[in-house]
Amino acid sequence: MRCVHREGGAYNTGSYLHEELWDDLCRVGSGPSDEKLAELTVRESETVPDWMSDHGALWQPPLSGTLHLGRTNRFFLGGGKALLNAYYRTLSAMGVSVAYSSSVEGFIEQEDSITHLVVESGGRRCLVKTRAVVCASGGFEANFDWLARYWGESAYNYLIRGPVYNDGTVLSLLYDHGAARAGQERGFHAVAIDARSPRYDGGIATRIDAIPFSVVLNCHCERFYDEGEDLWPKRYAIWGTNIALQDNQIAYAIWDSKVNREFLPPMYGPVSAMTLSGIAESLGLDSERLVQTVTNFNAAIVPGTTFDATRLDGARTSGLAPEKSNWAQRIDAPPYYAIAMRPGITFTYMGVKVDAKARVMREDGSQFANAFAAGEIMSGNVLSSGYLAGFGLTIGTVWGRIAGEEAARYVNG
Amino acid sequence: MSMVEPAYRYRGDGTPNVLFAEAERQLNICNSCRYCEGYCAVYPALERRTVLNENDIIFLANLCHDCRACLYACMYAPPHEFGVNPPAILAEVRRGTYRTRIPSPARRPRAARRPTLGLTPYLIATLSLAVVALLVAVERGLSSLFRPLDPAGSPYALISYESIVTVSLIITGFSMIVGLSGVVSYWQKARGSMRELFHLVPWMKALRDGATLRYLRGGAEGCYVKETHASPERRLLHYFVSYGFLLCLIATIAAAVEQDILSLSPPFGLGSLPVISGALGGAGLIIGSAGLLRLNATQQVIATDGTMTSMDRYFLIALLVLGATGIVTLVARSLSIYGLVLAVHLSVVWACLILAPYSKFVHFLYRLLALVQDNLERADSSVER
Repeated sequence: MRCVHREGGAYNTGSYLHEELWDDLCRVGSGPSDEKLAELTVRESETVPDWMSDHGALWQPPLSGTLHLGRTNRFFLGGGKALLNAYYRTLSAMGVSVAYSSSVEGFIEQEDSITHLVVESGGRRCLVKTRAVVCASGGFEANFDWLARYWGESAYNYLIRGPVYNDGTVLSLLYDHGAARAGQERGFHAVAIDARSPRYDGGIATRIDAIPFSVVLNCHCERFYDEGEDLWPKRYAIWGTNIALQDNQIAYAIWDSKVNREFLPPMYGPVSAMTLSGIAESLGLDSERLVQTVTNFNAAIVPGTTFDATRLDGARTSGLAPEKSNWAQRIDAPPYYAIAMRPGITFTYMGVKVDAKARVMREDGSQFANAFAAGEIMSGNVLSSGYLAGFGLTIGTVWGRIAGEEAARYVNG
Repeated sequence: MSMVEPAYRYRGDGTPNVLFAEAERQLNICNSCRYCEGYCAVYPALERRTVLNENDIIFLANLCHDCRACLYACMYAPPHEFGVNPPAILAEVRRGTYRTRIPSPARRPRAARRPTLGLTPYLIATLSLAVVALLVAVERGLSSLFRPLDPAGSPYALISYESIVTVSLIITGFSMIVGLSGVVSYWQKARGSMRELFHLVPWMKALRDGATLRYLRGGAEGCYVKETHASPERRLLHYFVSYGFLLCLIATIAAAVEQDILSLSPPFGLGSLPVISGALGGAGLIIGSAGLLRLNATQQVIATDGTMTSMDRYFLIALLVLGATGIVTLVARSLSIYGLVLAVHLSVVWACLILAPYSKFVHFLYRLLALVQDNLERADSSVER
């Protein structure tokens, strides 16, 4: 996660000050949605890691991995599930009971307050009396029908990287009860993932890192975007949308044996063949057109540059639309490799509007007295498009803490 | 947080091909995720590779100390359809290392599928007891098993010094040859160069990490027995077993020194080094192995390979019996049953010595080799950078 820290230490390689995080946030997508709330998030982020440690979180030294985030970001030991396990253990030690495998299916509202929740658990419905409610139930990315309202039929070809439970039920209940919207309806984070991934819950392992070293074609065997635009971590998150906008929401990365060891192999393994027409056949693409596109690509490479995977090497094409502006090499050394990719949706931005106490706001400008929101369901208040690595976790933790404290304050009067 | 019975579950058919294909499938998922790299040496070693062959998988399996932190941290663990479960699949690979890297009849594919050594341990134990009984009968007469010995507590009043030393040396020699040939064959496959095995620096670090049981610390909280429970217990019990064993070894060496160099004959006094270290060592073995047996009985079945669990059980029971008979031998010195107690202890020691290279006993050897290999690889990759 990405937090402000004045100096480096065991878990960060250097300082990352308030101003720098704020600047980074302003450069993302269309920038902060609500400057006041975004600034509050940045300010509160500084004290969040210690709070997490106090509640059982463990950290690990900066990663040696590919994303080069050791200075700005901190990593949980073992990832998100390990963090949640630690939180659940802390809760259980505090005597808090948790109803697993249960869902909220409805609210009962009186005056300004949610007085009861309709909870479904083990096939039974019951009413749970509430004094305060914190909604931290995520976005609606696992609800294809809802996605299709903004993306049309193509939404049904997307894959969802998270669990099937992110279906937006609570979000839609809040809207039904008059909650105001925050964030863009088409705002989401999506990366290129293996087309063979499961429809839900494929997680991080299905992502494809081959793109900077490949040519990427759509189902008509046409290139459609500069594969070498920038260093991969900076461009990692644009490819989900790139592919979502192609016909059939599918694209194909093709590379050859020269670069096959330069990136992590896809978890299901790539398709390989000794000829490009063999690749076309395996992918079910028009062989003639595929070979033509690769031949044109090879012919357009500007001679005299040296391939260097570690930097923007300027090895580019000339005369193509679009060009490939870095890491362009002839694709001519069999065996050839390829992989089919689809957009994998990580999260959605559209949620409910909140005030600085995380209280859910209504369309008419009033607030729910006892309904609070935290995490993805209100992330649209802070950012409404684009992506800053690790900042979703910051939003979730900062606002989880605010919402919890405010809910407790409300209940205790 | 409850871990229900998985929807997906790998079922091996005992053939290496299926096992390694499954291990490769799971480890490729790990290599694409990399969230576990802070837990232990396995994941950084995996990240140094983009392609995995059988020897890589065997290396990673032996580098794994089975703390299980990764399993409980994993979003892909069962019941997720990817069914990632490194502790279980790596334990199954390790079982193959212990079985097939040593020259034994178990090399045959069908025997490799056999869960344990079958009846062999019982046969060996019986044989060992028979040899002891035969020696007693020939040298001192079987009645000496049931009367106080003279001098009290002296083993040589039961079997002659020459017989004990001769049989012990033969068995030790045999076991060391079997064990060492396993080590050599492992290393040849893993690294090729035997010369590298004698580099000092990787060994120093490996011995330090081995002696402190560094990788049984898991993700700082210790090993997981259940999903909700990580604790230092397993590491502490390993200290009891391994240092208890070491103390027993010291007792044996000290006894040999007192007798053959200082010309002191047993029985040694209660305050002597052989008795003190033997008593402490025996106690360590009993506490450690009993504790580990209890821990293994409460572990979640999903987190390990069932056959490895029975290997563990055999090994721990053997250690428990070894420690217990040793302590009883010490206590029963002047009693009329001393002869019998001593005969039983001696046959247990000999049986365990023969079986050691075929049992879970060898695990620390392969773990040490894997640690040395890991240190060599780290040095290689820092040179490349």
